[in-house]
Amino acid sequence: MLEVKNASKTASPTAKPASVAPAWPSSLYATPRVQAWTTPLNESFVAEEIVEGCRLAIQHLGMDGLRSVGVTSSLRGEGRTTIAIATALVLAEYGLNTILLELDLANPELAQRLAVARFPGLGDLAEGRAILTDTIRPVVAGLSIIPAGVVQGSIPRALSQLAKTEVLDTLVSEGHVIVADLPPLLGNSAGRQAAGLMADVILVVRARVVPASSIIEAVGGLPVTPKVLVNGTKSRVPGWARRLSGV
Amino acid sequence: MTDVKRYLEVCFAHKRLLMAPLLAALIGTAAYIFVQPPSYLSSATLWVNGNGVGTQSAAQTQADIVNQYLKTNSFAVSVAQNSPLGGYLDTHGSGTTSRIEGLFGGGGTESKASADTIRLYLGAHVTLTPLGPSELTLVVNAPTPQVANGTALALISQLTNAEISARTTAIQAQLALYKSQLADQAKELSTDLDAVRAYLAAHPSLANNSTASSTDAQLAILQDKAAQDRANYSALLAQIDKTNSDLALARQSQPFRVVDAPKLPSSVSLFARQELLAIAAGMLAGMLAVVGTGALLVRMDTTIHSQDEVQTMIGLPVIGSTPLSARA
Repeated sequence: MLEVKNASKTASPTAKPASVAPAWPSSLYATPRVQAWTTPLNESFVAEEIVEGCRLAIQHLGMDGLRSVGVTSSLRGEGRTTIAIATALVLAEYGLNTILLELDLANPELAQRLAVARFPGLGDLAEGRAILTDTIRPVVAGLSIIPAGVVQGSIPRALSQLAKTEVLDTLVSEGHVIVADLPPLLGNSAGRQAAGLMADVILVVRARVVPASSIIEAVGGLPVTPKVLVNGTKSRVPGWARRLSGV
Repeated sequence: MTDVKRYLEVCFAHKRLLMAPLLAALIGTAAYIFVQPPSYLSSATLWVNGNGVGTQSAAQTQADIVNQYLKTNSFAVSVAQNSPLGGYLDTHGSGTTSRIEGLFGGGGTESKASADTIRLYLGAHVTLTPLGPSELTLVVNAPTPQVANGTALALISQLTNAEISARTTAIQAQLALYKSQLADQAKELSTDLDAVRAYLAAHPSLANNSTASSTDAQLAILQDKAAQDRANYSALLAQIDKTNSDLALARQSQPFRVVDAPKLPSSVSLFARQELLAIAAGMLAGMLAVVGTGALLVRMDTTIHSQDEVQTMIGLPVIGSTPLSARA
């Protein structure tokens, strides 16, 4: 189940944000349960504030000519997967036929969070055990996911194979917009390799967590200049302290 | 403003780390207070006779004088010898070490407390506060009621003695001078009288002839000198009488009057001066440690806090931010 949770306790969880024009994405807020899903979901919440942040980010990025967007980060735990889901939701909300691609082949969690079958997926596709149509799973109208699947060989080789088979080009040519949950850039080579498959890259930077030097090291040598989305900027300073200090 | 915001962000993000030094300071203060001996307060109210110096009130002047006395070893030792304080310090010592030893069954060995130890102890445990122009409160803080009361009584007694002694010393010196001058004058007078007698012996005709003796110039000179010395001698005798009278008066006049005599304290004082000072020092040290740790954390923090900092810190374009922290 994919559910957009309003983090505010006072606001109704079914309330549609004022800035959302299209009617159908409201189903994401109002009717999160899809009958076909049998697995009860408990980790698929995306707070409305995060979706709103991604909505503004996508507007800033521009949707004209948007083909593929990879969401990565310097380290694990910066909110990469959640931002990828929220970004895909926003694009679907604007009426784009969106495919959420799970390119973090080493540590896949998208399929589990969205409660869809984990395979066959990209790994099976790269290693010739599945065809593209078998791997695509609809989540809600306008949004589908291709999970990571199973990689029996090496991940870099699977990524190279995906590039060779031109899976992404095929999806784009069919009118899909790809949002990919990429591996983190530091700690392995797959992150950089996967980022190379994307036309645009969003770098999720978790506020107050990753040193600037690590971020600079992470983005060094990337084929595309990533656009930064800062995650978790809500101030930790209580209201009384802000009032006292005047900040 | 940005610096303040960043400072606050870092501090509130590391609340527990920042609270650690404050907590450590508070625990240290509590431990210090715990190992302090119990505190009994014995107080007395004194009415100061006489006037102050310059613009100072009599009470303030007297308090300053007493504080000066308390800084001298001889005064401190005389107070300790005339009160249970000396015995207590000999047995228990003055610091917290003996209290800690006591907790573990040690301590209690007798060794003579040094004059410096006694002076420092009195300096830390005696408080003088002027209540009004002529009223002064003396408070002694001691580990037992007997020591507190006995020390207060001894302190008042020794202060009285010291003050009287200070006032009589000058008079006694003056008296000694007068007596020395008197002795000299007596010798001179004796010499003069001998000279007159010798002159008369050498001129027997003058002895029985008052007319002749009154016209003898040399005899007149000798007799005038003797008369002058006798007058001086008499004057010195009068001065000595007056000085003796002044001395007796100084010995009888008290520097102050005890309005409320010190009483045996019946209960332990929870927050004596030392405890309050320790709490204040602990709080101050804790706050300084918090500010210092906060400054260090801010200095070491090179993370990005908001989207405004992205361009300046890592030179990448920004497309937005999310207020809530999304999970991985």
